[in-house]
Amino acid sequence: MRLTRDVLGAVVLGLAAVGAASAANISKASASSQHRNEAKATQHLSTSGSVTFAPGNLGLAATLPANPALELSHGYELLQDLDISTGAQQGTVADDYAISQKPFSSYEAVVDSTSGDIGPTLQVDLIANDGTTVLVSGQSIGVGFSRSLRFMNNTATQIDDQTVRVASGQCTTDCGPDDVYFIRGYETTYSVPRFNNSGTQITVLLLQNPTNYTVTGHVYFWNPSGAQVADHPFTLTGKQVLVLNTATEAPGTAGALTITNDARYGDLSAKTVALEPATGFSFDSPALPRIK
Amino acid sequence: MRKNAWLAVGLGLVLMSGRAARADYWDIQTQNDNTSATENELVHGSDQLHDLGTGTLPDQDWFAMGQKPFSSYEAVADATSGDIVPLSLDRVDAGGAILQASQAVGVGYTRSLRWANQTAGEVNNEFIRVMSGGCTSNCGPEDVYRIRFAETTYSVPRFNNSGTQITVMLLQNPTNYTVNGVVYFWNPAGAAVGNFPFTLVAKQTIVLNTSTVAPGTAGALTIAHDARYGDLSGKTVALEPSTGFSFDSPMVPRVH
Repeated sequence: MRLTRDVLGAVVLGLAAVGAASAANISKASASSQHRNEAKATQHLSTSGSVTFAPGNLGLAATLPANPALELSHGYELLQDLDISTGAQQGTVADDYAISQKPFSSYEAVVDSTSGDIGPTLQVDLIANDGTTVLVSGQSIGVGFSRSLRFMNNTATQIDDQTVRVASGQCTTDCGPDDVYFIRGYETTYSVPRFNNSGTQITVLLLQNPTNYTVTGHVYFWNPSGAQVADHPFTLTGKQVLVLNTATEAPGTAGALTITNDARYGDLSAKTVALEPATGFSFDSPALPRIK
Repeated sequence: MRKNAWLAVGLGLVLMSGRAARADYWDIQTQNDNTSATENELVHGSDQLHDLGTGTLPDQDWFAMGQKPFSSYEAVADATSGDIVPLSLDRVDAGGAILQASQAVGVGYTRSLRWANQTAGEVNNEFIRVMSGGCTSNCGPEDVYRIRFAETTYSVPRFNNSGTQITVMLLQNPTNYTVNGVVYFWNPAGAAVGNFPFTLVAKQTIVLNTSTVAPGTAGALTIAHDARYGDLSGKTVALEPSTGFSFDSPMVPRVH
C-alpha cells in the first residue's frame, strides 16, 4: 500500500493526538513534578524495545516486561502499584524487591499510602530463597492499613537471595494501575563511635526504647581494627531502658558499637558514657541511625 | 483510504485515552477516601500528593491514623495550587465533627495540625480531613495539595537522680509561637514515675531540676507537645557532685 497524502495526514493527526495527550500528561505531571507521587516504578526503570509498522498496518500489540527488577536500599522510596499486567507472581499479584542484607545489620520496609481497593489485607513479607517460604511478616503500624516489615541479619554472611514481597489479599487478579502503595526502605542499624574499658576507664551503654512495643536486638562490640569482641543480645519492652556496663562484655578493650534491632527506623535512642575516675573525665557518644 | 485515515485517528484517540498522570489515586478507587471508610492511612513519614477534583459535590479527602499513648503528631498540608485555598485541614471524628482545626504556618496557604495523645490508650477512631474553601464543587484534578505526617514525640535516653546525682533538663522553644506539652519520666523497667506539663512562650527555655519530679530514681524521658516536627531543642545534664562527673544526653526527634 502506498502512503498517500490522506493516509499520511491521518497518521500525523493521530500522532498529534497522541502528542497532545502526552503534552497534557506532562503538563499535569509538571504541576507536581517535585512530588514523589510521580515516582512510578515504570517511569524510573528504563525499558527498551522496538515495533515495526508494516506499510498499512497501523495497530500493533506491545508487551512490556513483567515485574521489572526492583531493589530496596537505604533511603529507597517509590510509589508503586499492584497492576496485574506488571506484577503477577505465585498465582497472585505481588511485587518482589531484592534486598542485600549486610552482616550484622538490620532493615525495615514500610508500606503506606495504600489506595482503598488494596485493603487491610496488604501483605509485606520477607521471602526465603525458595520464593515461597515466609520468613518474617510485616506488622500493622497504625489502624491496620499500613505495614512495617523489620528483620535482622545477625550473621557474618551477606544475604542477597531473600526478597521483600508486597501483595494484596483484596484486589488480587483484578488489581489495576490505580491500586497503589508507597514503599520505603531503611537500614535500621545504629552506630556508636566509642566505648573504652581500658585501664581504669569504664563505659556504660544507655539504650532507650521510647516506643510502646517490644524491641529485640544485638549490641556488637568492635575493636579499633574491626574485629568483633562481644555480642550482647537484648530485649526491651515499651519505655524500658537498658543500662549496660560494657566492661562486663568487653573488658580491657576499646572500640565502637553497632546495634541491630527490630524497631522501626529511628525509634531507639541511646548513648554511651565513658568514665575515667582517675581524672574525673566523662565522655558521651550518641548512638546514630544511618541518615538518608 | 478513508477507512485507514479513521483508523489512524482511532489509534491516536485510543492512546490518548490511557490513564492520565493523575495525582489522586486514592480518590478514584471503589473504596475511595471520601468518608471515614477511607483505607488511606497516615503514618510517621507519610507524604502524598492529592487533588480535590470532583464531580458535582465538593471533594473531601479523609485519612485514617493511629495515635500511640503519650505521643504527639503533626499533619502538614502545603504545595497548594492557586484555586484550592483556603484549605481546611482538620482532625475530625468518624461523623465528621471537627475536633481540632489547623493553623497557618506562613502567610496562610499552608496549614499545620498538631496535637498530643496524653492518655495511656491508643486512639484509632479519629481522622484527618482536607477540604477546599476556594474551589469547592468546581475543583479539578489540577487543584492539588501535598500532605505530610510525622510523629513529633522526642526522647532522651537518660536522667539520673539516684544517690547524690541530679539531672537538669534544658528545654528550649526557639520558635515564635507558644508550645505546650508534657515531659514523661520512665524508670529503666518502662514504668511511668512522673510527668511535668509545660508551657513555653516563644524563645523561652525551661531549666528543670528533674529530681523535683522523679526523685531518687533514674531512667529516660519522652516529650509529647504541640510544636511542629523538630522545632524544639533540649538535653539533660546529669551531675555527680561527689566525683565531678557530668553527663549530657541529647533530646532527639524520631527521624524518618
